[in-house]
Amino acid sequence: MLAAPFIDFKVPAGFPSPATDYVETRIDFSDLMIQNPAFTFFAYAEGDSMTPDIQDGNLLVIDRKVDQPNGCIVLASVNNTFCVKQLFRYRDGSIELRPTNDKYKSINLPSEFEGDFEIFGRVIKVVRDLLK
Amino acid sequence: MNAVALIDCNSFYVSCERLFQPHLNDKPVIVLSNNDGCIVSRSQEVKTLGIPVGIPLFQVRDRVIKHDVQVYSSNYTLYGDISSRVHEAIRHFSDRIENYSIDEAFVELEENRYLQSFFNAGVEIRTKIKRWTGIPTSVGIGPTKTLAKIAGNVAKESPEGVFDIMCKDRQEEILAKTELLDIWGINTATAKKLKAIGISSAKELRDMDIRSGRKVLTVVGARMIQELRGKPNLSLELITTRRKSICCSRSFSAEVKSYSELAESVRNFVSTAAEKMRGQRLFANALNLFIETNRFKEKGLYTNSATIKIQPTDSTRELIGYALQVLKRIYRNGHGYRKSGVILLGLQPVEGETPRLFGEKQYQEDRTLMRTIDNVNAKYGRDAVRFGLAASNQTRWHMARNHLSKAYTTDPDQLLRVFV
Repeated sequence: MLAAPFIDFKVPAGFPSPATDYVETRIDFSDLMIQNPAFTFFAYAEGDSMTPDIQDGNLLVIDRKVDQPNGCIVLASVNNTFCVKQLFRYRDGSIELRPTNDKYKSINLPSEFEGDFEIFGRVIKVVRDLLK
Repeated sequence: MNAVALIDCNSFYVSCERLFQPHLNDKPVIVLSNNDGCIVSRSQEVKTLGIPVGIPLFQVRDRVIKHDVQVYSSNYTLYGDISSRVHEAIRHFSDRIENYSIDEAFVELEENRYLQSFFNAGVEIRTKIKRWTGIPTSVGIGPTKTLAKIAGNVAKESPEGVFDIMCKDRQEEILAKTELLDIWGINTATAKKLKAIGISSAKELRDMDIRSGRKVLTVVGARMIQELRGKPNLSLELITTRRKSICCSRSFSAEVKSYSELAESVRNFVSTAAEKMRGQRLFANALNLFIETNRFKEKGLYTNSATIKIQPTDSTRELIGYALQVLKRIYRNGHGYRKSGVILLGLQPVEGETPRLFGEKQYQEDRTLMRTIDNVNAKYGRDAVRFGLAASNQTRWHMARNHLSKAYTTDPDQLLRVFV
């Protein structure tokens, strides 16, 4: 993973730097991005149903351990096909998988849905590469 | 009383494949051993079809095609990574864990922590491992490792995936139904001996006189009987015992004849074994190298191996030097080789290594180089930096892995792609 240099204090020669103890610490980018390394997976997104939050080619950081409150974005599989959508669970047991791009329609799973439905994990970060 | 739980991943290799390819969920799936030889992991559908584990693929090819069984090569990079995630999840439930194999672990469950019931603890463990890692498991709970293992077999068949035989009545019932071969540590030979003296179930073994048990099955048998009685005799091996040897060997996908190709395979195996060894902070005192022609061919059979004592080292550069010395000695021209391998022996912790009288400076430079290479390879993938000749395009010594899935979790170029 990337490591960026920590802010470097410049002090007059002969004067001991109060920051000496910290100079060697570098920010580990993965610490910023990931809470549960053992339960985190990555995937690239393709398609535009989740714009503007997620755009084609973005890297998704997916955590399987964090909570999944209503409205969070998840990677799920419906009838054994992956999709990324906003998750809503209703009192009657039905589930809505809602795209953020209103050109697309929600996937509604009734409470008696008999197909396969599984949540892979919650999308906790989206990385967009501005060089590409 | 504390309990022992055996946590066992269901069809582990198949489950790893399914995690990233949900379209496999409702299809029969198998995973093959090295070189795509034998079946090593089967999904439930394949078990139901009656296709056995361990047999060569070609023997069941017709059935595999007929039932559209999905075939995968072993993706050890993926399985190793997922396994470490599962073990990490298990650490949330106990500090006393024995990582028994890539897909099994024994854990001690504390009575105080799981007051409600061990069964509920099992359900919680199973649910959380599935949620956090995506891997389905079954959990067997008992007062000893041997009984936990037996409970695990029942758990696999049960709808909850958890089975608890902490109580005596349950043990009576299950042990009466458990065949000898389903007991941990009993093989066909020992089962035969026991049958000869009229013992055919786990219950009968448990109730036999310990002294006669020791006579038939030595001290191991006596321990087994104690364990079946609910008295722990096999402690958890909490500290992963330091290994005494590390082996790296492969069968080739095609015959290799030339010395230079064989040498290239040896260089790679030494590199892999040495990297593993350094990862465990060990160094080697001896090295064994072996080469084999096709065992199933009648003509031109040739196998040879040699071990040499070496100056203690963990440097890949030096180990390759030694291995090639051995190879020169045992290589015979004109044979078609199908396998080679390297074993690093007499492993000791680096902390106890004595400095060299001569060449210590060069050796320390070597080690700095090794650390750098290991770091680079850890970051950019094994083989980012390699020893020896530039990789030739003659890659016959590679394994046959024609049905390999991606390294979804370890290679940035092979990440999952999902259609949003």
